[in-house]
Amino acid sequence: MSESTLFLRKATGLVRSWSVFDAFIYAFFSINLVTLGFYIISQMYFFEGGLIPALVISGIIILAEVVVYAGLIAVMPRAGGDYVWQSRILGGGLGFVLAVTGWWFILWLWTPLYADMLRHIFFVPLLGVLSLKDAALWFAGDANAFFLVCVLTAVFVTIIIALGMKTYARMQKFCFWVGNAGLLVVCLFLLLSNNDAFRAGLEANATKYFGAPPGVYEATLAAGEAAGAITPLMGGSLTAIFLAMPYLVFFNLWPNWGATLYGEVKGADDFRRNLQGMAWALIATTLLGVIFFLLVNKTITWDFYTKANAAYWSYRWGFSESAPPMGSVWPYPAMLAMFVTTNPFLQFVVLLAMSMWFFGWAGTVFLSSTRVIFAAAFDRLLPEAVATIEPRTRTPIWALALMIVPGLIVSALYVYNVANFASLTLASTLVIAVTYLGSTVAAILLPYTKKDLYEASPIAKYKVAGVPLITVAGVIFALFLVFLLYQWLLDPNALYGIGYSINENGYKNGTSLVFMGVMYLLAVIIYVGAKMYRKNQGVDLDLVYKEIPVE
Amino acid sequence: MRNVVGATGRSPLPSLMPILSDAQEEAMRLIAEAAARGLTLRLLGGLAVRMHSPSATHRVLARQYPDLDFASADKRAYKIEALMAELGYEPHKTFNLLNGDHRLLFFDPAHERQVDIFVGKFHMCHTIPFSLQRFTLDLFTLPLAELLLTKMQIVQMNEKDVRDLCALLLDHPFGEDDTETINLPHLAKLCADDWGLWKTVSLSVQKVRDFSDAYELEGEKKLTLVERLNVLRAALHETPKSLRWKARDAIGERVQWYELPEEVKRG
Repeated sequence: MSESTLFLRKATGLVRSWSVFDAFIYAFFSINLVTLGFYIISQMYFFEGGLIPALVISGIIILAEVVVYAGLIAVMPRAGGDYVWQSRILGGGLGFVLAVTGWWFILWLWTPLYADMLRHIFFVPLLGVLSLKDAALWFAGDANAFFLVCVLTAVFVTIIIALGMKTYARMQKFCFWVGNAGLLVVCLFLLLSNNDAFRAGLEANATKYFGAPPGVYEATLAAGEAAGAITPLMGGSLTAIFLAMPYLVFFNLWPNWGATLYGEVKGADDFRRNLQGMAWALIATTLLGVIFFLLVNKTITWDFYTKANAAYWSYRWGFSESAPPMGSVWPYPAMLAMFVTTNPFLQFVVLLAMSMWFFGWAGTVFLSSTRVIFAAAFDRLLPEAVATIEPRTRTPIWALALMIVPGLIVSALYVYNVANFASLTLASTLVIAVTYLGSTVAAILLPYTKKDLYEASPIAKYKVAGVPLITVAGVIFALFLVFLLYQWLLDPNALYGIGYSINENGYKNGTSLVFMGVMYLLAVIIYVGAKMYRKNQGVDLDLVYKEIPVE
Repeated sequence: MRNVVGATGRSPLPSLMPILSDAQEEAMRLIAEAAARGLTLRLLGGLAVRMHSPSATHRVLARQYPDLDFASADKRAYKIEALMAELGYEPHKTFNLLNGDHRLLFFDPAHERQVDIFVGKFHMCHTIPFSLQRFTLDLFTLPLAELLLTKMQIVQMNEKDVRDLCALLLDHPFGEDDTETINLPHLAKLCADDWGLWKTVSLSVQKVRDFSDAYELEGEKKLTLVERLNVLRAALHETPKSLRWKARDAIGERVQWYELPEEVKRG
C-alpha cells in the first residue's frame, strides 16, 4: 500500500456482495461431486469407456468453456450473463430465446432432479440410520414422498435466496467446509477399511436399516450382472470414452454456473481471477472425483458399485422386473462407505455433514436464473414486475414464482412419470448446452463484431498465434458442444434416450422432443409478443439491444 | 448543529417541493422529509464536512460537491425507496434491486446529481457500524467521529478526501463527547476492536500529515492540524485493544486487511 500517492475516484464506490472465494465455492458446488456427480455416474453403468478417463478428458475440454466464460464476464460483468452477452452480440431474439430456455424454462425440469438427489442423500440414509425404516423406505420409493421433497426443495431454495447474497454466501461457505470435512471422513473410512469389512457391514446395516434380505452383497452382484453393468473404472477406447461424456457432462459442464451473478462479484472484470475461480473449481472437483472412485474401488470395489447402480436404475427405469436387493434405496456411495462401521452415531454425523453438499448447492437451481429474468425485464421483454422484490423480505417473489410454479408442475409430471417424463433427465443438460453454444458463438465473434468493446477489455492482450484466446477457446468448446448435441439428438449408438435415435434399436423420445420444442416455442412467442407490445408503446427493442446494460 | 428535534421526534410535515438546486439545502430537505415519515437519514461525505467546518470553504480546501451521500440506521430500504420516489428522484433500478439491502442509488437528472444511501451500516474499505443512538446526536449529519472515520477508512484516498479531513480536523478538537468535538474515546474504541480499521486509520493519519504540506495553510492552522493528528495517533496506540484485535494483529499485513470498493458505471 503506497503512503505517498493520492488516487482518482469519481464517485463513492461499491463493495460488491461476493468475494472471488464465494464465486469459487458457487462454481465448486455447481459441479457438485456428491449430488450431480454421484447421481449421474450411478446411471452410467452401461458404457464401455472408463469413468476416470472420461472424467479427466472432459474436464480438460471444459477448461475451454471456463476460458470462454471468464472472458465474457471480464468484458461485460453484468447480472444476466448469457442473456446480456448473446442479446448484445448475436441479437435480441436469439439471445432471449436461448437464454430463457437454458436459464429459466429448463430449470423447471431440474426441480425434481434436485429433489431426487435430496431424498437419496438426506432423507433416506439419515432416516435409515435413525432406525426409522418405514419412513426411509417411503421417501425412497413412494411417488408422493418424492413430490413432497420437490415442494420442500422449492421452499428451501426460496428461503435461502430471500436471505440475500451475503447470507447465501455465508451459508454456502459453512456447507463447503462441513461438506468437505464429511467427505474427508468418508474417504478415510474407504482408505483404512477393506472389502471384507464392507461386505460384513453391508450385510449388517442394509438389513438393519432398510430390511434387505441376508446375502445382499452377492444378490446385488447377480442383479447388476443381469442388468448389464459393464462400465469400467479405467480404460476403454477413446471413442468409448467420448461416448460416456454426453452423460457425464450432466455433472461437470457447469463451472460457469455463476456467470449470471458476476455483476455482484468483486473484481469481476479481472479475467485471471474469474478464470482461476472457475478453473480451480473444475480441477479440484475432477481430482476429488478421481480420488474418491479409486477409494471406492479399493474398499467397496468398482465392480460391486457399478452392479448395485445397474440393479437400482434398471429396475427404476423399468428395464428389469425384479426389484434390487436393497429395494428402492439408491446405492449412495457415502452411505455404503459408512457401512464399514456399525456405529449409528458416527454414521449419522458423517451423513449429515455430507448432506451439506446438497444444502450448499441447492440455491443454484433458481439463483442464477433470477438474474436472467431480471435482465430480460430491465430490457422490457418481460413485465417490469418480475424484476421487483417483495419490499419487506427483499425476495424476488415474481421471478421465483416463475421458477417455482412451473417447476412444481414439471415435478409432478416427472415424479408420476406422466408420458414417460422420467426419461427426460438428460434433456435438462441438452437445453442448457444449446444456450452455452449461443454464448460460445458470441464469444468467438466478439473480437470481430464488437471490436471497440473487446479492445478496451482486459482480455484483448490474450492471444494464441495472433488469434484472440477467447475465439480459440470458443472454437474448441463449440466443437465439443456440437458433438454432445449430435449424440443427444440423433443418438447413433442408442445410449442417451432423449432424442430421435437414428439407431434402429434406439429410443425415439417424443416426450423429450415435444417438451423441448414447446419451451423454445414459448420463448419465441414471449419474444415476438413483447416486441409487438412494446412497439405499440413506441419502444423499439432493437435499440435497447444496442446498449450495454448499466451495472 | 446539535439535534433539537431528535431523530424520532416529530417536526411538522414539510410540504413537498421540487428538488432544490443547492446541494446543502436539498440535503436538509431530504432529511426533514425523511424525519416526517419516521426515517432517520444523516448526511456524510464532503457536504457533511462542509456543514460542520468553515475551513472547508478556505481557498486551499474548497472543492465541488457533485453527489449527496447519506446513511440510514433503518434497514427498511423499501421505505427509503418510497420516500425518494415521492420526492422526485429516479432510482437506479438494477443497482437497487441487487444491492438494496445495503446500498441505494438515486438520480436527480435535472441537477445532474446522484444520491448514495448506505443502509444499516457503512461498508466500504472497512465497516463502520451505525446505531440509532449515534444517529440522534446531530440533526443533519453523522456525528463528527463517524464523519472522520468514514474518510480515514479510505485506503485509496483522493485529493477531496484529504481536503475534507484537513477541514474537519482544523475546526474540531478531539473531546470526550460529540458536541462539536470529535468523540475520541468512541473513535478509538471502534479502532481498538477492528485491527483492519485501526491499521488503515493509522496509515491515513500519516497520509494526511504528508499531503497537508502541499496546501498553503497558515502556520497556526498547520500546527493545529499536526497537533490533532498526533492526538489521534496517540489515542490509536494507547487505547486497550480487544482480543479480536490482538488475534488479527498476530497475522499483520500478510493478509489484506481492507476491501477496495469498485467504481460502478452508473449509466
